[in-house]
Amino acid sequence: MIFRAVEDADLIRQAARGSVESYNLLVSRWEKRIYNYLLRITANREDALDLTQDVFLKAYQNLRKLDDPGRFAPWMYRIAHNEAYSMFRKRRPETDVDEIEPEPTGTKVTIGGSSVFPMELSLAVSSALGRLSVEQREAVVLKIYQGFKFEEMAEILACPVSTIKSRLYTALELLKAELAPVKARGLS
Amino acid sequence: MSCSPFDLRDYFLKELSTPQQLQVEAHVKTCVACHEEMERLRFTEAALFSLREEEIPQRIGFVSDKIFEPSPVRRWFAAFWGSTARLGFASAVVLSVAMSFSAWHRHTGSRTGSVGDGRK
Repeated sequence: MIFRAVEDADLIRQAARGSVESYNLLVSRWEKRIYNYLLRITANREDALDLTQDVFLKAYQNLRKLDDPGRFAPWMYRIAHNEAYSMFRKRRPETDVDEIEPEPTGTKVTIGGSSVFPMELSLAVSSALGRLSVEQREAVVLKIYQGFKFEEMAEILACPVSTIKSRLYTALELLKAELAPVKARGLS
Repeated sequence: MSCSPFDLRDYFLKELSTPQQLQVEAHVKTCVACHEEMERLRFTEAALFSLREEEIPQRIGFVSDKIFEPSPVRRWFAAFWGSTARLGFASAVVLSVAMSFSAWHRHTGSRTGSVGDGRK
């Protein structure tokens, strides 16, 4: 457990009383997580940055409505989710998910007993994530990358746990199928 | 269809309790099909984590702005309550309570004394 001189809950209370400094400290602790969540569901760095700014602004304006500071994380992700979907609704048809290109490296890495090039693997993962629906991709991001429990995800996405499970299970099957050739090539 | 006592995907997604996890682990050691499925899930997870988190290209910061600040009344109250005035106010309240109590005590004491004198 990481020791923090000032807990998030204290910063939230101070920020709710109007302390901009406290809020800035809170932002510095959460901006990378929120940005990466938005980056993975929008697949666009510019959109992710704009949305991150909107999310923190909206959160500041509504901070007094947050009754339990312990629920800050799902509350923030709920705002981020709403902002992202609001953008998606404005921009139909949905933009393709192929903009993010991983950093190239030449040395093979061993993953799950298979030796693969990191670039090849990252491209395969980006492509596989891009083949998922936005809902499935978001479920994967919240579960695998952000580590939320099913109940928290249900709160963030405002849908039943059964729906979350269904999205995740389908996404996992698709990801496994998409990534199987990379594993096979690495083994040969 | 998996023959595992619990869904392997729930194990992989860390949604099982510790006893349930142990049961799955014991089963996977003896079942070839479930072992292979678990390997595929582990490869998928490892592959997903090959995609690193990115640094935010531009730090987000807020400056004090009247538009986003609380109302003047709230700000005045927060400033008042957060300042040394709070200590002064609290001290004054304690002092006034003590003085009132002392005055009341002295008043009732003198009345009791005068009644006693009357009986003599």
